[in-house]
This record gives sequence, structure tokens and C-alpha cells, in this order.
Amino acid sequence: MKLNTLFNPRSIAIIGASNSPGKVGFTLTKNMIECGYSGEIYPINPGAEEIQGLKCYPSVLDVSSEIDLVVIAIPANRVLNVVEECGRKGVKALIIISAGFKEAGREGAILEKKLVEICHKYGMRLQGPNCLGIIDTITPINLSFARTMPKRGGIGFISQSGALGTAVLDWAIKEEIGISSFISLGNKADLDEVEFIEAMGEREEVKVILLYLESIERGQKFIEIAKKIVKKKPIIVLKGGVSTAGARAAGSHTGALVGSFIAYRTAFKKAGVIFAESVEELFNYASAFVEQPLPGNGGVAIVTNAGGPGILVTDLCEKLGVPLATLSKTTRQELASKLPSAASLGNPIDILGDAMADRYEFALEKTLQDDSVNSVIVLLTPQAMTESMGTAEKIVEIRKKRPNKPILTVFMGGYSVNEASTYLKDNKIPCYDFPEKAVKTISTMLEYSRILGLEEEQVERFTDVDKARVEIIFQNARIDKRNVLLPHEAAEAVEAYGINVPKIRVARTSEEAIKFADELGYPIVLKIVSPDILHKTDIGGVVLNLKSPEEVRISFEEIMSRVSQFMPHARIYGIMVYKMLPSGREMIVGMSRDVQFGPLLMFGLGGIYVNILKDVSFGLAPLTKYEVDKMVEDTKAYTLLKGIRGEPPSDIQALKETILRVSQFILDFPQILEMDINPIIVYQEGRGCIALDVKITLTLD
Amino acid sequence: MGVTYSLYIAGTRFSGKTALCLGLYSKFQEMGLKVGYFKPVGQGVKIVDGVSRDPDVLLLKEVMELEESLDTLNPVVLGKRYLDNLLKDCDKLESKIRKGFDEVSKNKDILLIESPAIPELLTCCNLDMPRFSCEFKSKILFSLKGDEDSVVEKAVLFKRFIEQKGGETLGIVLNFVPLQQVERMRGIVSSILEGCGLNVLGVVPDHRDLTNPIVYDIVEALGAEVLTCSNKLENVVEDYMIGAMTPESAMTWLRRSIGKAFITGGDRTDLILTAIETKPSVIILTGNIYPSRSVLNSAEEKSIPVLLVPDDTYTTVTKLEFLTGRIVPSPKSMKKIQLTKKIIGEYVNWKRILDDFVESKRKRGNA
Repeated sequence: MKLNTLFNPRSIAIIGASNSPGKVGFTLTKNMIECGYSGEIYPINPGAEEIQGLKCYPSVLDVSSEIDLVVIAIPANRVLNVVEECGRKGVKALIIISAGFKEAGREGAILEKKLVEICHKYGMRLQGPNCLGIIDTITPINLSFARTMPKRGGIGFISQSGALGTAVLDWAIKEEIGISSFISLGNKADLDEVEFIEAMGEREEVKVILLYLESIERGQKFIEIAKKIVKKKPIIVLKGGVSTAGARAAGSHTGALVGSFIAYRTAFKKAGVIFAESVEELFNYASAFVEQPLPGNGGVAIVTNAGGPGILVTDLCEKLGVPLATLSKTTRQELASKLPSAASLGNPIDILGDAMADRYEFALEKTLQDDSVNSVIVLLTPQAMTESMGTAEKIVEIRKKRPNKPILTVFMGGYSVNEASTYLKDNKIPCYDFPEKAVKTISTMLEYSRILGLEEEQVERFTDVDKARVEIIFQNARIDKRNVLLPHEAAEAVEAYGINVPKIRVARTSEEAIKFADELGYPIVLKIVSPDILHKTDIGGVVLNLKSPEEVRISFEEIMSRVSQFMPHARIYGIMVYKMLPSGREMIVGMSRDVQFGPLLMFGLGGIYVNILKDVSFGLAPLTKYEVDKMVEDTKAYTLLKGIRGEPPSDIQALKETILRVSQFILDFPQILEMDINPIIVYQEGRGCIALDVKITLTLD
Repeated sequence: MGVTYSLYIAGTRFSGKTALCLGLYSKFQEMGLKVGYFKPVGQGVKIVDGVSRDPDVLLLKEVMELEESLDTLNPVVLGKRYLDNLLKDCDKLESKIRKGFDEVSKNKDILLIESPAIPELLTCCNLDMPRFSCEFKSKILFSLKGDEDSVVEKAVLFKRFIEQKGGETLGIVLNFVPLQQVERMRGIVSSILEGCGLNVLGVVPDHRDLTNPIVYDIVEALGAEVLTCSNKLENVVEDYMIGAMTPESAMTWLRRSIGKAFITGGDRTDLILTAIETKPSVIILTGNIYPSRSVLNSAEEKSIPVLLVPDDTYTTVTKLEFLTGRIVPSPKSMKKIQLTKKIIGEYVNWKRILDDFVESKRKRGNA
């Protein structure tokens, strides 16, 4: 297995091991001795003969047997020396707890760089520095500050924040949540989340991988690996720094660019990684995945003893897009035969306030037998006759009899449901205090089922593209030291990739403009070409619908005079001449290269609406056909494109093809930093679409 | 007097006179000629050892390692209120200039004389450039900014002014020509100038690397503290951007801008980190707000100089405005100086000047 020497080392040395309580090296040694580890432990400390009953060595070089893993907890300035010794000793992996590296400033950063160099030289892998260690309940090892080990279980937890990790671990121990491994990433000088995800993905005992992350540096690798692992087990991530203020805080904290939240969300979606919004959600989802089967086809059924909470759950299902099951006629008849006549047999199934354990048992049994039901949420409110403990016991019994569909429970209340709720959790039935958590969990499980059901799709490549032509255009811009292409250059570049654009000419004199207009045909549009004028309409730099050579001449001169009046210092390359296009649906297709995840594509309602309505969706290139379908369907504009109120549908196929071509275009040319087609005009079905205004920004390196 | 061939380089403010002097000086020197530089009337902007000096002269002296003293190279330095004692001092100025000229022209083949940035300066007391050009028997070469058609009028006006005073023009060099104007200047503008009797000796395209300040100039202008990468102060600054938006909105603009100085508060960690990704020439943090250490680490890693200034953003920008659109004479910028020499050698018809030099030598020989 990957990183086996970290999760399952045959021998461990602790550099900085100590006899004085309060020292990190004391805790680490004590935890290792007490966790039940079966391999050899070598305390290393030149000042001691024996540490906590174990023979102590002055240096790793003094240990005669092989050492797999070394954990280091000594001041940063002494770390390099001992790491060099570890290298000479042939140690395979290191965990550096010590702080005082990159996070501490410039000297620390230099130290960290040297540290990584030594590790590379000897082929050692490194976790940390500035981390809070590792716990593995399977091996077992406990190289952390946690006094007790968590319960053995199916959750693998990777945390970028050591302190948060430790706090969560402490909580998990109290809540008796089963953990298989815990990793604190620290500064990620060598090993990062991608490698730990891969390792945990290969590990049988890990059923679900949880992540707390502030930044991802190798975004594209993350997607690649996560996509693979997700097919085997769910990955759930909690991302810190999602708000503007949070990002600022995270940036100061890690010194890394936190990046745009949109890019993270899009990346997680592409990889099939589940996104949690709080620590609680993270573990709610995790427990459900570990303890419950995945829901199949059908809808969720709600069994409740009170109308109000049932309605709340129904509302939430609707809001989150969780389908409610339509019970079969048979089920309804069976339910009717035993339930009081006042009971509601629709979904939610309201078995009334006087329901005791046996009525819950009956209703749950019958509901689970229905093929249209893929999962059940059992709601209980403490009322006069309610038997919360008895009901809990019945649910656990039924679970054993029928293990194929997830059962989630919501026992609302405090004292009166406490015992029952603990009993349920102890017996691997998720139990929540309020309905929202249950619905969100079901929704997440359905999402994961959907991800598992997706077929691997290859990205198709268009062959009718002219790479060389684009290269020449980019080369010319580079010679001029321009990184923003002129509009006609940008249009020509995308045209070389099979994207439909209008014929554009750039005129420097009015005579030229008339010549071009005659050649292109009227009505004509004139538009100023200048890298310094952003809002061309505002200064009168655009004139539409010119019907004769005389109008072209007058407008040409008017534009020039307005520009020299309002923008006297703007660089002017001429005036663009093109034939005015018939109107259609105005959409936008854009791309911004994200620092972590690469080309982030955007699609939405275009023109002047884009900034106000923000009806946009995102995707990361390379896009598959399925992803493009999703991107288009995820916008409200999609309804418009399909045709409303008797209007004919737009050419959605042509639009989707354009997005796919853009995806290939920006992948073929990594020097494109940003691009925008705004608007792209989509015509009626069968009549295609046309990229009216294309903007491209290149990198100059 | 009159043994040395001298060329009077005359032009308006920020028209590339000093660059032309620098370029021609090193070109002729390279050819083994003994070259001198002289600026009879300078304008004092910089105070050195308690005396106000013309920065152009300081630059030439340092870069070309001129032996003559500053007082000789530039005998008269005028301030903004130069009229105060002018009439009283008139004779004194005249003799100072003569003395300076005699000294610098000693043992020289070619002397380059730079006019003040106001070519008509001291016309009121007959100590103007055309008058001295007659006295020194120098030909006059115009250096004007060729950014619009009206440069023709200015050139012809100067020519008439000079002729009226008996001076002689050699020709004109059009400097700082924007790329899109190059063809126009070479074509119609040149032919009209030639038609008016002005030889066009060069159309020099605007070279941003030359007119844009380097980070060092900004450090000087702002009195900034350099927090990282003090070895990167030769970075050229081509654009200025003020960061006040969210990083996501800023990204597009940051990417469009080349060689920018990014100006923002030291507490805008998110923006600074985003800006670092887009390789700015320099990051200027205003308001004396020290950034977090990790941010400086990132800047160090990507080799981007970070400056800290006490001023607020508005004041900072106002101070920076003065730096743009001209060649900042800073001896620190060896790259710029090399480039100046290269560009002048490439775009200015120096052979024509050399021919004139040879011709006048021949004439003198005959006489």
C-alpha cells in the first residue's frame, strides 16, 4: 500500500523523546507505548539512558536495527542535522511535529526548503513539518497529542489544521465515533492531501475519507486522484476560507493563495467529492456512509407521529431536490388495514400522536417493503403515549432484518429522547435532533449514488482545428508586447477552432471603412478598436445599423472625433467594420485560468445581464459532453433556450459544441489566461450560434 | 573657438534630448572620436551638496564618466523664479557660458550641446539657444515628440525662430513615436518636414522599457522601504493598479496588466497573494501597514519586490504620476542606458551627422 511505512511501520524512532511530562516528546512516547503498538519503539535523546522504561539512544545511527518511521519533536534549528542522520540510516518516512518552518517567516522557509532537499536526496517521505502527527487505530499507532485513541472505525480524517483536527478527534472520542486514521497535514512540505487521499483510498478499513482543507496547491492532481478514489469510497471535504474574510484569514495563516471558492466548488463537483458546510455535517455524512447502505432508485418515505415536523421534512426534501416516494397501492392498503382511520397514508405517513412502538414497527416494516421507497426517515416527537426507547429498539430490530435501505431517524426533543437517541447511535442508526440534518444527509447519499452511477466518459477532441493559425496570431501580439488581443485577432483565433464568428475588418480611414462595408454588405456596425477603451458604448465608440456608404463615412468620423475628445490618450488601432447580425438569445461563455485548478469555464445569460442576474454555471476543462450538458442545464437561461410561450427553441446543440470547442481551445493554448465570448448569439434550432465579441488575455512569459 | 565640431540638440520637455545625447555620445565614442557634452543652461531640480543641479547633467556625468566639473559642464542653472536677478546677472551668465564652452571643447572632435527643455529660454536677454549656436558655430538638431501631426508646426516654428537669429539647422529626430504612429511619421509627416527644409534624421518608436520607471525610481520617489527582493529593483514598471476589490474581481484586471506596480494596503492579504500570482513588477503597500510574514515569504519565493510606504494610496499615486511618460534619468538603470544607446544607434541616422562632421572638417582644412 502507498505510504505503508507511515500507517503501518514495523519500527518507530521518536527523536526528542523525554521523561518530563509536559514535553511533546513525553506525550508522543507515552501515547505510543500505551496504544498497543506491536513493533519496536526507539526513543532518541542524547541526554538519557532510558525513557519511560525503554532503552534510549543518542542518535538514530546508534540503533542497530532498521527504522521505518521517525517522528521528530525538537526545535526547528536542530531538525536538519537529525534528518540528515535519518537519511544516512535509511529511514523511510518522517513526521516532523516541530514548528518554526515556513509558517514562521523567511528563515523558516529557507530551512523548510533545505529539509525537503535532504528528504529527496535520501528518498524519504515527509509528513509536516508543523503538524500534529498521525493516529491509526488499525495498526495501531498514536503519534499525536490525543491522550486516548478514538474507537476503531471506518473514517479516515485528514486535516490541514492540526488544532482543529485534535479538537475534532477529542470530540469524536467522546461521541464514540469510529476512526481508522487521522492525519495532520501541517505545512505540506512534501506529502499533501492528494497523497494521503490516495493512500486511504487503497486502505480497506477506511470506508469514507474526510478532509478539512484551507488550500489545495496541486488542484488538477487532486481532481484526478479524487475522481478515482470516489468510485471506491466517498470523499467529504470541509473547506475553510470560503468567505472573502475567511479567505483573507486563511491567506495570512498559510501564506498560500486560497483561490476562488467557485473554483473549489467546481473542482469538487468534477471530482465527485462531497462538500460539507460545517464540522457537524462532515461527521453526519461520514457516519451515514459508514453505517448505512446507499439508497437506490425511488424516493424517501417519512414516517412520523406529528404533522408539523413531517411538513418540515417534506419542505426540505423539495428544497434540496430529494424525491419523495409515492407509495404503492398495496402498501397503502396494508397500512390502512391496521392504522387508525385518522392516520395519513400519503407521504409523510402520519401515524398520529398516540403511536406507540408497535405502530412505528408496523409502519416502518411496510414502508421498507415498498419498491418505490429507497430510504426512510423516521420522525419522533415525545408526546403523552410515545415510547421513545421502545421505538428505538424496534427500529434496530428492523434494521437487522432489512439491511438494504438506509434508515435515518430524527428524535426531536431533549431529556425524553436522550436515552433512545444514544441507543440508536450505538446501534449504527444515525439519529438527529432536528429534521434538516436528516434530509441533508439523505440528499448527500443520493448524490453519491448518482456519482457512482456515472459512466466514465472520454473527452472528445475536434480535429477540424488550425493550431498553427492561432499560434501566428499569438506570436504577433507577443511581438507587439500586447497581452490582450485585439477583437479581430481574438475572433480569428477562435474561428481557427471552428467557432462561428462574424467577418471583421479593421479600417484606419473612412475610405477603407466604406470599402469594407461594400464588401461585407449592409447594414454595418462600426466599433472603435483600442486596448485602452473598455466601455466602448459609453463614449460613443459603437454605431449600429449603418445602411449606406455615406452613413459609414459620417459615423467613422464621428467616432474618431468623440474618441479624441473623451479619451485623448487612448491608443487607437482603427475601427472595426462588420455586418450587423440578426438578434437572437445572448449568452456568455467565459474562461478564467484558476491558479490551483486550471481553466475554469463559465456559461450563462450574456450581454448586459451577466453582471446583474449572475445566472451562470461553471465547469473545469477538459469538459466532457455530460459536463457541458449539466453546465447549460444548470442555468435559468436554459428554460429560455428551450423556448417559452410558443417561441421556437434555440440551437442548444450548436451552443454546447461551441463550449466544447472553447474547452479544447484553452487546453491547447495554456498561455490563454482569460477569455470571454460575450455575447455569443444563439439562433433558432438548426441555425447555429455566433461569437460576436471575443476577448482573450494571454500570459507574456 | 570653432575648432571643434559641435551639435546643438534642442527640444521641448520630455522629448528625448538627453537620451539622444547619451546615444550619440556613446556611438561616436565607440568610433574612436573624442566626444564632449555641454549644457549651457540647465534647470535645477535636484540639490547636490547644497547646490541645485540639472539631473540630466548629473546622469551624463556619471554614466559617461565625464572628467569636467559640474560647473563647467553646466555653467548656468536656473530655478523656477529665474527672472529675479536676470538683468543684473546677464553679463555674468554670458561669460560663464563662454568659459564653460571653451573648457569642454578643448581637445574634442565632437561636442554635443543640450538645450534647456524650454528651447526659447532666455530669449528676453539674448542668451538663447540660437544665439549661442551661432557663436559656437554649432548646427542644431531638433529632438521632438512625434506623437501627433502638429509636431510639424512646432518644428517649422522653431526653424523659423532659429533662422531669424541666423542659426543653422541640421535636421530633426522624432522621438517617442507611438507604435501606431510610426508609419505616419515616416510617411506623410516626414515628407512635409523635408518639404519645409527639415531633414528627418530619425523616427524613434516609443520604447516603453525606456520611458517606464524602474522600481528603484519608485523607491526614490516615494521614500519607500524595500521589504523583499532588493535585488529586483531594476524591474520595469509599465502600469499602475490600485487594489481595492475582491480577489476574484481583481484577477481579470491583474492579468490584463503587464509589468504593473500593484498598490494596496498591507492588510489586504488576499489581494496581495492574488497579485503575486500575476507576476507584478512591484507591490507597493501603503499606509505603513506591515503585511503578514507568510505573504512576504510568497513574494520572496516568486522574486517580487514589496515596498512599504507611509503615504495613503491617493498620495502615493499622485507622487507616481510624475514618473511616467519620460525617461527617468537614473544611473541605477544600466539596462535602460544600454537600451538607449542601442535604440539611438538603430533608429537615428548618425551617419548623416558624421558626414556633416567630416564635411566641416574638410572645409576647415581647406580654409
